[in-house]
Amino acid sequence: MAALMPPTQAATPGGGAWSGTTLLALLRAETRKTLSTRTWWALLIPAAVLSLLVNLAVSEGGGLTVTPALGMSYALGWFSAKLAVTYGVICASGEFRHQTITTSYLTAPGRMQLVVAKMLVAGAVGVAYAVASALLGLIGTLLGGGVAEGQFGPLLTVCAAAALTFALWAMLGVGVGVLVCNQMAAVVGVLFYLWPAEQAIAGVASLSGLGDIDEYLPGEAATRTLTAIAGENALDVRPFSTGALPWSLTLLIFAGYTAVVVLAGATVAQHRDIT
Amino acid sequence: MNGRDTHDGSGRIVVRNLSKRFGTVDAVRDLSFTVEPGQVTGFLGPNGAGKTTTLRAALGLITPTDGEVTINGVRYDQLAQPARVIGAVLDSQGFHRSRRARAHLRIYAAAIGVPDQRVEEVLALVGLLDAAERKVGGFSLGMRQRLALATALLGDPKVLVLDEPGSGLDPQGVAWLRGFLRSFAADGRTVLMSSHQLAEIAQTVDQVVIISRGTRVYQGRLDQLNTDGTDRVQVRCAHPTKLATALAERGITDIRSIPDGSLVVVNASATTVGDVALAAGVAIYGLAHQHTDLERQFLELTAGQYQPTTPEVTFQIAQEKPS
Repeated sequence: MAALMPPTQAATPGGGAWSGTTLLALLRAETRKTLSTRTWWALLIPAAVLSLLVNLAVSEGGGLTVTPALGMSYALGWFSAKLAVTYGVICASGEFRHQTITTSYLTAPGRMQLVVAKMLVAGAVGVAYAVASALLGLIGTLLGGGVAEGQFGPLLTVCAAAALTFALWAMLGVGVGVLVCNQMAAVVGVLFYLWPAEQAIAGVASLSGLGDIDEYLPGEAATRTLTAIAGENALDVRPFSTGALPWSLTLLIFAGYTAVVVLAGATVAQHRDIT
Repeated sequence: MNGRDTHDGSGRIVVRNLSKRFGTVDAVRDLSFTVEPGQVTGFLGPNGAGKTTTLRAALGLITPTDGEVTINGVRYDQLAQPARVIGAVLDSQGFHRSRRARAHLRIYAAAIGVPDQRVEEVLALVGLLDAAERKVGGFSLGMRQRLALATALLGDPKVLVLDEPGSGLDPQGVAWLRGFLRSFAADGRTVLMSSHQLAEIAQTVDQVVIISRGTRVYQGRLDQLNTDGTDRVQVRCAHPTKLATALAERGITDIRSIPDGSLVVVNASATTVGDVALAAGVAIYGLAHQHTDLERQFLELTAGQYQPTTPEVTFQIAQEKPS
């Protein structure tokens, strides 16, 4: 996590004061911001329901080839995670859309502190998304076919890893939201990238002989972190390729992307005129 | 609280050689003025004169191209707890439509670090206690202005900056705001409020800073603005050109023609103009001494903002005088 934090000691223009008290105050403010509108639960519901449905379908039809853990990794990584990143984008760009950013900047000791507080609270919301999605996914799995002896361990490991990737997704979303400001453009842009664009990039790379670069792209890196953890115990993982890299590496790659986006967002926010 | 917060607590705002360029547009050009505590200072100018840009530069929301604005002797971004020093009511300050007024205030109370009790105090102060649990989306413009003021007051600041606060307020609201700002200033605090209408703030302010096209054209007491006015005589005559030439020979060169064919002679009495016209043999059809009131003075100072449509065109006096 420390790698994601902007350098706190750097005396940037508009940097203001860094202290535990001010950061705590901003964390409280951001929490209140989050809970006083419906965005957080309006997106949490589809995240959890998608997880339930996908886990149900996979455990109904997967049979022996797909373990519950793999089904869960697929449901969380491919579906629910998209809502965690969408939440991050909406919560950050919403400040610009509703022009509340003016008051938020005026009441914070510095812009960077505000972005950090926003990122941390969004990360916590991301964890909540992972927990809710995992719980409903578990229900789906139990309804669909149950969990055999010895399959609970990997299943829970996938859920724990999802908590981490969801937190990163929400933070990445905050970075994008701060960077782009225009809410519609930011949400559409992120989802367009994650669904058709990333596959297209990977496909083109594959066809042009660059090899399999999926795992080096943010969306796939995050998803494969989960499928790789699940795949270690799977019998056959053909339909859901787990790739060549270990999950620790894909997680690192994804965390790297998150850090880059968040730092870019914070840096741009630092100097942007609010007119 | 820590090393950065070394402001002097004076409540003084100093704008020093401020310039801001947006693309190819000079919004503010080398603007300097000082706002003192204990009084209400009006910040006047036509739309687009650079008022909002100046206020936003003072609040650290935009970075000046050149110069700086200090509050209590330091730049805004050097204040460790800015909201406890300066409060702002800006025209485009937003609210989340589906958030309740109290929830909105509690967010910023938490950010500033004041207890939630302060939220109830400012709600009562601006008269929004009854509407505190309503969603801001259903608020009238006047109620939003009150909520913006309540937000600005959360940190109990010594300096208050308001951008066009009168817009959207009904007459009672304007009267209430006037009373509030007067007592705020009487408490030794600083008020800087912008407006594009002199009439709107004439009864509220002690001092005015008037800007036009990004530069200062006047700073001082409002009642002295009047005496700065000059004598001007409007004259309708048979041969404006001939009269203008004759006046120029007497050293009276500030002459303007206005669209109806009349001349406006600045810094001359009606008697002088009449005598000169008689000597030059120009028939006079009408001669009137123009009273320069505040509004006219303001318009005069800020003329040029809309150069192509300005009604008065400076009369061209030939350099070679036929003598």
